[in-house]
Amino acid sequence: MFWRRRKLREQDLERELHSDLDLEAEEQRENGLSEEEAHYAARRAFGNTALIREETREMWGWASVERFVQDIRYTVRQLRRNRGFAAVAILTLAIGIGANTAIFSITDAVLLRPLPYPDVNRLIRIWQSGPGLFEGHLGAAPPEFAAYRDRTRVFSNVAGYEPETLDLTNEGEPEHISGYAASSSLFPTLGVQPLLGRTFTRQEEFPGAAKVVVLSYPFWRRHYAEDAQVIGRLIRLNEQPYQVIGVMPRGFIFPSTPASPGEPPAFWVPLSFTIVQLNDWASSFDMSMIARLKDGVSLAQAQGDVKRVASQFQREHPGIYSGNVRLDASAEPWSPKFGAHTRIVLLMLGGAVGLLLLIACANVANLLLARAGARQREMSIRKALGASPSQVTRQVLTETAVLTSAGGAAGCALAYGLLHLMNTVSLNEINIRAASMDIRVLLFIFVLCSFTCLLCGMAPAWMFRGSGMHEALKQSSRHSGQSAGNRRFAGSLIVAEIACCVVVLIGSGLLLRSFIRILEVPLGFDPQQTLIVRTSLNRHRYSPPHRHAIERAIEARLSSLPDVSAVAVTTHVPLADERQIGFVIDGQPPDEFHWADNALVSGDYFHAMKIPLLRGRTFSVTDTASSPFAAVVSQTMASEYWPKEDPLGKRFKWGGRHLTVIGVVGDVHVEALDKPMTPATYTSVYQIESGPSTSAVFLIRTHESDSMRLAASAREAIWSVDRGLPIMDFSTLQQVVSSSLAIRRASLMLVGSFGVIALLLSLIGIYGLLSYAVTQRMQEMGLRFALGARPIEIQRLVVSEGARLAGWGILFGVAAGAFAAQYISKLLFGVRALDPVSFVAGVSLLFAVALLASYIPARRATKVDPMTALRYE
Amino acid sequence: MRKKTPDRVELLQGTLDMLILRTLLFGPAHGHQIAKHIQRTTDDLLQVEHGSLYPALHRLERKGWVAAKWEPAGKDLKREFKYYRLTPAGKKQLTVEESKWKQMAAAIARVMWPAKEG
Repeated sequence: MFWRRRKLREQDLERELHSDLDLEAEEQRENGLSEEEAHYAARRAFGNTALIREETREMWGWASVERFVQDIRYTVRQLRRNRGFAAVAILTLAIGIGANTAIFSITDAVLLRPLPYPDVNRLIRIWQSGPGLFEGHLGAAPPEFAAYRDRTRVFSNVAGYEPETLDLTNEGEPEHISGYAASSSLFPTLGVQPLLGRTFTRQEEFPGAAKVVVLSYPFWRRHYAEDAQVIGRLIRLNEQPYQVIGVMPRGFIFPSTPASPGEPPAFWVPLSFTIVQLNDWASSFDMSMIARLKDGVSLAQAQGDVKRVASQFQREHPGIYSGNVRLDASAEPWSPKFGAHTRIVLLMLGGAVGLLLLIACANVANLLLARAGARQREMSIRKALGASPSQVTRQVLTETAVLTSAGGAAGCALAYGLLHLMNTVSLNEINIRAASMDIRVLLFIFVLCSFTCLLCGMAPAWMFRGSGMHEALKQSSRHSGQSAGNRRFAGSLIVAEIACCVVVLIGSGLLLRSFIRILEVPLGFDPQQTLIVRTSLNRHRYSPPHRHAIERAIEARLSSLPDVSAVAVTTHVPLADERQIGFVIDGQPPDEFHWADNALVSGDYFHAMKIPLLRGRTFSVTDTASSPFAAVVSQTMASEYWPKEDPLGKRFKWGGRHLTVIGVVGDVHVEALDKPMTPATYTSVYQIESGPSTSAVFLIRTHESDSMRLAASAREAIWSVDRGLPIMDFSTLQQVVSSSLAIRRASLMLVGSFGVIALLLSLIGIYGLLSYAVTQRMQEMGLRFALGARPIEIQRLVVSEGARLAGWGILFGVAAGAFAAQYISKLLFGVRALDPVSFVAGVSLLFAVALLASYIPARRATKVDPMTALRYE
Repeated sequence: MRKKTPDRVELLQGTLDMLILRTLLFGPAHGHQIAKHIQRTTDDLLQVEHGSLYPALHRLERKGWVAAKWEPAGKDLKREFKYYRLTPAGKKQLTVEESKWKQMAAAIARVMWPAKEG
């Protein structure tokens, strides 16, 4: 349609010009000129008919489209003729864009994607901290939550929630499902309506009320196949009937996000407190709080209000908030909980890929510049034939645009592959599977490509714009090439590229050194050949004596398996689970609290883990519910609280129990290998009943090198004791240690490979620039030879050019690296941000590569035959 | 590039459209006639370049101010020319441009020869 109309127009114009031209010639003939003279006179009078045609066409508004198509066609033709150039440029850009896209899609999924709640920026997290007692975020005790809910004035709603696990004992094998217990205000606070049914009411929070449950969409889909009839049905959770009253919409998985590790919550049940709990200010701090700001209230006002409430209830209860028990309250915009480290890791990766893209851009810009040098004449001729400077610029930018589009498309594919590869890595901190190439990511690629295009295309476009056509045309073909100014510009691109590369290398070095340091940290236990089986014995089904009997029976059954050397049961596995208890040491003021890691273990735990017993004894069968409470403490705990004293027989108080130290064992890293050693105390799982004692993790040390082989027989042994026990997970202790380092390993691998790629690109960049320069200076080299220069001198000339560029690059790179290292100092372990080893290693690696890259063109320069080079003139 | 003869005045930007419209007020004409007419009436002072004439004609046609039709020339029926005719919209446009031009000319005059004022 469009093309047809255009063709008609074209014919029309052609005919018009023709007829008028004839008329003009006729008139000239009448003036007495000969046929031929008249023809030429008419032509002269009309001037450049091609130009008239072009400008007239422009009046019809097609020219821009047409020119665009023409430019692209021309570019594709050009690139086809220079396949090598095109391939290198596209591949380089694809690497830069692909890496950025992959990292962006993860960052987007974890940090940037908006949460599915209305007016999400009015949602506030209220949290407490215990200055001097407990660092980091502290949850609230039930009466504290009630105080924030009832006494604050700046929020329209305040809600509390805490994790809850339940056994679904409805049908078939019991299933252990996790969700949240939440106050009824949670749903109004978030402003989300259920998909089906209703959410719970304030009345349903009271302990005596009938039990109700709201299901999450994923759980509803998996278990009830999206059956709407589920509303009103009774299901058995922890042996008790719960009525299903609602199903939340698909995207609602509060407080998780798609990027949260693990399963999304399956349910929400009312968080109910007994009168006792509502008056217990001290014993649990498990509740997280979220609130919605009233309209017109600022964050600063909210901050002041929560602090006021906190100091108010602390004044009212001086008996509880005394000694070192002090709370500070804080309000901050609500965001899903990802560790500060995760954020820094993502920002670091973003920075690394950003630098990688800059390096790629520098390389492509230099390639374009070199090509531009060779095309100087072509461009000048185009200008002489009437192309305006803007047309030439447009042509160059079109070329870059075609290259970046191809690079972007290839990068997109690369990112897709990279994400697939990364999906196989499971991290404790985030769920990479949440990252997907959605419309936001595609938009990001578009913006990135435009930016890349401008960055790469600007230099050559500018170069052509400035070049006068006379000078260029006067140049003989062999002289054509880059001017001194352009060479300098290309050189500074390389310097910038090297600087970026140095930064990435220093970063990789720092991460690598940190990782090695962490691997050197003694675990305190032997992770080899040990199988871990996680099960749960819920309190409603198993009374404590019943539970103990089953656990002892399972321990015995597992010990009798072939190839098993030791068996133990614990509630918490170091580096995977953690729990801390607050206690008071006998002889100290009763309001002087301390914190220690705690696990409830069986007597063989230390033997099975190969944690050395340093003094005293471990738990034995004589430590029962009726005997005095016994505690085994870690070396750090012993030396921190009973320095220069014999810790054995010392006593401390925890939750109303008096415990006596019966033994001291070696230190174990519980939270993470890169965290400082904290005090730890172990209590007997057969003696003390406490919240987490329903979780039972069986540790099986084997003679097998691959302890996983025992999984099947271990399962049989456990089920032969109790067929109804849910077995949640089999893993090895080695896997636990390894996965605690997973994010560190993954970020090291990523930054390291970005470093390698950056190094390769720099190598290519330096090599390309120097070999081009050598080609340009062939005659000069020949002349030098003819005048008696020795090959080594020529070689030195070229290599020193490379070294000079590398030197400047390193100088800027080290400065930038020192600056960037401060930002990742929280990710480092055992090395300072200005670690000389990493800096020197990074710099020398780069320098070596730079010399290598300059050596090859330098050798070529010495191979110049002076006669050929001079005759070339 | 052709050299410009010094005694020719260059057309002011935007005036060519007005001149074409004004010429067509006498009746339909083809491109060549329009150019010749402007040249002749100004005693060759204003030289209409073909390079600007055709783009201008097509621009006016696109805007709907002139309409074009291929018609045989008066004496010779075998030869056809593309005749442009003023449309009602074109007439309106001509008065608009004319008044704009008058204002402009008056304004320039006031700057150039201030003595005339007051």
